[in-house]
Amino acid sequence: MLELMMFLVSMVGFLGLLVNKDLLKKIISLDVMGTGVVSLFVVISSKQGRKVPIPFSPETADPLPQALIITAIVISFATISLLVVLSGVVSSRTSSSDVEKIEKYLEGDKK
Amino acid sequence: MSFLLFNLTLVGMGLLGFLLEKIPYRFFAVANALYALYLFARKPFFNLVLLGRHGVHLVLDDLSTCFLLLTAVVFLAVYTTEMEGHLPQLLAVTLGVLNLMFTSNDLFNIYVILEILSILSVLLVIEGRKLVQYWSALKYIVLSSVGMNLYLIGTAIIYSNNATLSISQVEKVNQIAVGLILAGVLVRTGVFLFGVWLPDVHSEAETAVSAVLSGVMVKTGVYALLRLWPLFDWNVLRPFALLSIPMGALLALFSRDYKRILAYSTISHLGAILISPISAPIYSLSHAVSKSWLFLLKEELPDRDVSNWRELSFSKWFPLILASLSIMGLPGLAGSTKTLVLENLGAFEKFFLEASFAVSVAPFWRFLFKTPVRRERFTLKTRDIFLLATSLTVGITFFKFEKVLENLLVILAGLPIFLIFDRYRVEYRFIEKLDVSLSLYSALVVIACLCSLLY
Repeated sequence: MLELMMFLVSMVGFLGLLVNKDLLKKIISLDVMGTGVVSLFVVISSKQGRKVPIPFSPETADPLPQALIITAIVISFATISLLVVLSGVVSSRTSSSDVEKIEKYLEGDKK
Repeated sequence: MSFLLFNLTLVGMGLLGFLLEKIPYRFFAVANALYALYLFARKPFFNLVLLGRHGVHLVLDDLSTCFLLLTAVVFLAVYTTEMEGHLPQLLAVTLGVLNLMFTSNDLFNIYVILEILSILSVLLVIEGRKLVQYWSALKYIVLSSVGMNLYLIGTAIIYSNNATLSISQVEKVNQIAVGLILAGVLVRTGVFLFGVWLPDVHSEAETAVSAVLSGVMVKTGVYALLRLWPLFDWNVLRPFALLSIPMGALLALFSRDYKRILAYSTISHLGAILISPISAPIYSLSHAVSKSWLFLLKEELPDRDVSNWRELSFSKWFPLILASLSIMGLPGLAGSTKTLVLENLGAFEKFFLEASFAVSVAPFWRFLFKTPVRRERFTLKTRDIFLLATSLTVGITFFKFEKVLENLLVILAGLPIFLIFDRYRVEYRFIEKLDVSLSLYSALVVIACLCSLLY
């Protein structure tokens, strides 16, 4: 049940990515999607127990998904910050943060 | 172990290059090529399983060595060109990471390395500091990180069912999870409709970067699919692959921009690579050699618009023709391995593929029709000689006498197609817009899941 909810959170992020026209909103939606995935991993690790896995016993939480997801969090942090830098450069050069306006500007730029 | 150490040294030297100046990266590219040759010849294979049954799994086998050789060849060719800015350092890091990619065999390792590669390719693409480059890199990273998030969801489902990440130990396979994983990896390969980001990124990047992206980077997705093969039925990919060959080729035929033609033709050749898992490594190798050669030739060519080339000097024309023939599949050159793709297929599929190969050959007839002017002395660069030698080696290794006629017929069939479509010029970039490509992608994810459920 909880897993399905976390899946839905990430799908809401995906939906936000499709619906929003503003670059910053798109980036936030992407972050929401990533957060959904992270929470999904946390839910999965708590399947066999909710205690802290130090020291490890069969009733404690599974430490492996948590170890994996901390890597994924770091990576998604890097991606998101790179995206913010890129969108900052793009919107400062085109003086707009709206996707359609930027694409129109680029088409004009080519001609 | 020495393999891992070598690649970590490469990454470290690349990072060190940002602090120090004048690190001889060419030397590293040569060392890497020698090392890859050593691995290919002596086969010191390893199969490392770390963390017990949870599975962090590194494998070096025939499949890996094929891809390692591909990487080594492309990077050796790329490092012969003059590069500006931070490109040599970044490429050294990329080389190390790519080598590590081609030995990983578990779901999470593949995820981590694919993400690192997407960050690295963004950094490579924006090296020219142009607005178009920033925008295409942004489109690429949005699409690929959505794909990688879907991949992680699939991984989570598979881990919760099997309690392992090593692909060879997965027993219970959830088909929806596999569909999500496939949708995530297919974005990276850039098959048609998944890869709408590809033409922009590959054509707008600097020339050396384009060669690496088109030659090696898209093959990481192919490699991941080949490793994930135990989890799914290869027939799931076939509709995408079959659609991709003619569509990419037609878009290439309608375009006049040299780099765009090459980028579209990459889409078409990726379809051919994904047709069958058996021929995929060999055809990847042959495509990487020819395509990176064509991209590297861009430096010497007069203009990006092909129709503006009034005259080409002979020493520019000759390698261009050789590279085009190599990708078109002249018997004895690398592209002729496309006959391997056709093996073990039904009659209808075979016919369809032959026809689409003829279409994919057609854009390169445009280069064959250019006439050379002989003015200065004829010289051949070391890079051209090296790539020609590699192309010949690949072509002759897989040379089959009975396939010669078939190859020649495919090339000749491309001529009428080129002549028919020659007068049309279409610059249709609607599907390459960010919003359109994202909504297309959301539809494709559903299709991939359904395909995976059906098979």
